[in-house]
Amino acid sequence: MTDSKQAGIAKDILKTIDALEDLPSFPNAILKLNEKIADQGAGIGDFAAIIESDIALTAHILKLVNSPFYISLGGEVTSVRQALVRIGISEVQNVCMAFGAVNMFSKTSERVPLKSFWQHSLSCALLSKEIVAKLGFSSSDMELAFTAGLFHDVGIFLLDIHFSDLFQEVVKDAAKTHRSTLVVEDEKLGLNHAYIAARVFKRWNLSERLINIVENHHTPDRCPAGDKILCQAVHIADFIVASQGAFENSVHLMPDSSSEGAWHDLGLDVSDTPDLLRLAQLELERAEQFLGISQS
Amino acid sequence: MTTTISREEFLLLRGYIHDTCGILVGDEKSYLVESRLKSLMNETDCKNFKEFYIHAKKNGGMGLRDKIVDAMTTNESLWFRDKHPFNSLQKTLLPEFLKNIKTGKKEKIRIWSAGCSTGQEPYSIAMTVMEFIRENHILHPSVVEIFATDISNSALFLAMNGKYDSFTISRGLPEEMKKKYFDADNDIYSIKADVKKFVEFNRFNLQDSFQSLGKFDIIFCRNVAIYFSQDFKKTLFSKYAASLNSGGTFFLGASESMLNYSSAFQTIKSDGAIYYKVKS
Repeated sequence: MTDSKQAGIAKDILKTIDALEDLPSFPNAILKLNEKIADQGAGIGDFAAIIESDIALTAHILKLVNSPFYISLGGEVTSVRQALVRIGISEVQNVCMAFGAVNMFSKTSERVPLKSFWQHSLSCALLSKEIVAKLGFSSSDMELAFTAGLFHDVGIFLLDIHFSDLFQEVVKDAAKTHRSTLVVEDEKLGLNHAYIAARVFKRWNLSERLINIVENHHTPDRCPAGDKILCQAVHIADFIVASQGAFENSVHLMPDSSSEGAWHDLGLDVSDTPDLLRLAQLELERAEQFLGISQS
Repeated sequence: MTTTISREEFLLLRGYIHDTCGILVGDEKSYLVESRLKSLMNETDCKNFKEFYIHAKKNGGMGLRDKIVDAMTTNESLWFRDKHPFNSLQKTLLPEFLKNIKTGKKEKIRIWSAGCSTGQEPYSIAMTVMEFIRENHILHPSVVEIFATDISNSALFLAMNGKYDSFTISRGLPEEMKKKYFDADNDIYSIKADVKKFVEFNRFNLQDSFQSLGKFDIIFCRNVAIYFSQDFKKTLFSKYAASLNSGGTFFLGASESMLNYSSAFQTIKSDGAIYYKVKS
């Protein structure tokens, strides 16, 4: 493809993205909950009140906490307050974020299977958080890594929903030439899903740090210095989860490499691989449990 | 941004690559440097290859240096690549070792897959050993140790993961072996635990001393030395010779030759295979 044709396609995509009026929005209760959790003075009663303002979210949390996955922690849970005590605020926050994300992008197609997409994203989010936690980062950085992991691939959804024909060409070409869709996106569209997501996040006024991480999750060494380590954590978590065959941009193609610089900077090496593999399996199962509940 | 490489830029980067990791890029291979380092150049926000060279020299550190090595050495990985080495292993070398084990002359067979990439070579060796055992040869799996190394953390992770997609699995692996030694799930093929347990993966830079690794009976170093300079190849082959037990075997890639680099080995031609035995 000539550079001018590619530049033309990229320009058209950005023009359309910037003019979209029906962009999905994140559930208000979850945004409020995140704000409240960041507020040091708030307590369980405040969190419970926000969650209870959203009936669907309340029902989802109660259903999950009473599922076989958590039931071993104790008897039946009948209130959000009990749920917060039972599984902890951080876990409830993760559940809420996953619930919000899945409901926000509930439109699906043959090219982007909803369940495996979210299983991949949620496992990546959980694993990113674990990696960052092991490095001793603050809880707000851990939540940022989780959110970035959860949303890192939503550009794929946006491409598929709003540029269906072009994206179909990308997927077909990637399958035919055994290349990742990322490479083909860059080649055919002159931009990729990471950039599209970042562009939309700017319109949503999401934090610059989240935008930096999502935009660079395939190129972590380009991420601005302050967010580079978190971006590298998301990049490695994405690589590890994708290598389990859970989801690779809707084509069954395993990743073939990741940033050596990220391995180095995160202090990870081959001796950590068995633990990372165990953790990845655990997070995939946990994500499946979350999603199985949310879709039932 | 200029993504094509000029002659001057090629020579600068070629020198840097040689100085930092011993890999010599042929004079005609500027396209290789261009295609393999283009995305790293973009990642580092450099406008052209000269700027990238200056950046690498100044801020190479371990991270960028490792990435350059990774980009330059990423190789195609095939199952049972070249076939002949695996035939020689099964039909000639393993029977010899078995005889020595039975007579008490040997206790263990140590095989090194140097530059194992994403695991295809060491797992092909392990499957060959398993086929040998299946042929009613009484050889306890615990006497065979396959030591696999690579410089890339990413490649080693994928090797230890042992999961491959349908395209990767189809590259050189006979259908019958796929059925026998892999579990299939939704187009993803996982190497079985009894094959995996033969192989121990470690990160290792071939520029480092081999002394801590101990001695081996067989070394596979195929399509790895092609990336190295003539001087480094000489050093490398003499290090391999010193790491082999008396009469130990060395396999090079089908298109590679020991000629002009080492006199420590004698060439063996057998059943279509060419391999090298270290001179005692």
